[in-house]
Amino acid sequence: MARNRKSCPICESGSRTIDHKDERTLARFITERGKILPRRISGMCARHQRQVSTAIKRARFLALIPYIAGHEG
Amino acid sequence: MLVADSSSLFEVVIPCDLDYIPRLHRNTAVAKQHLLRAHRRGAKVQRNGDVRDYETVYIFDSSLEEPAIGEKLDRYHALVAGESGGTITAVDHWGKRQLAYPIEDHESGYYVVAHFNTSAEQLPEFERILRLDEALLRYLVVINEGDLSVTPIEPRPERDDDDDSSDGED
Repeated sequence: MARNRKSCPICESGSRTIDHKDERTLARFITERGKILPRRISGMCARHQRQVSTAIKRARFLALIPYIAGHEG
Repeated sequence: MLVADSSSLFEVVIPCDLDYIPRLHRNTAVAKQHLLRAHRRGAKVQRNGDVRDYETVYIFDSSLEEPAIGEKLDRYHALVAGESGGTITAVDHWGKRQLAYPIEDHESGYYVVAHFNTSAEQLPEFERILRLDEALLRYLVVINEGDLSVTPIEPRPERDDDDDSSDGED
């Protein structure tokens, strides 16, 4: 699971902001249970980890991504 | 030291030392100085009249008809645009979408994203009206970050999918 990534995936992609409406990008930064990936695994720089974290929380509020995934049934 | 103020309608005894009132004044003066200094440094001092860009995401009850939603949007946007001094820059209807979790027993919602600019003092009334509307399941008003306004909001091609991609992924 842990990736040995040294550089921030958001910096590499060249995008400057993270959109809380783009749940497909955000899905890369959550676990299968819907938790936010920690920095040691996501490999993001502090600034982007912060922005992604805020974006994920907004997306959860808008019911674009679940707070808790895969628990029903 | 006690100061008795007999000139007022009610006789008030203010428990204070001589510093009491001057300290209050000093505090407001300090607050003003801070603001002034920040302003001189070039910091943006938010005042009530400032116009900013906002983005709002609405989630309507999906059983509403499109005309009803359009009419509601017009009503909301009249509160922030037009004579209220703002302008609506973009309205994007995502349409019906599966919710990631049920909201008030609704499994799907009708999403609309609107961009507008308006002065901050319009927002409390705007949000008050939004809260009162029962057909509006949820809304989110955020400041529009510069780049986002340039980003085209593309329609979601797979919006009718069951949103179970999140629990199937590794």
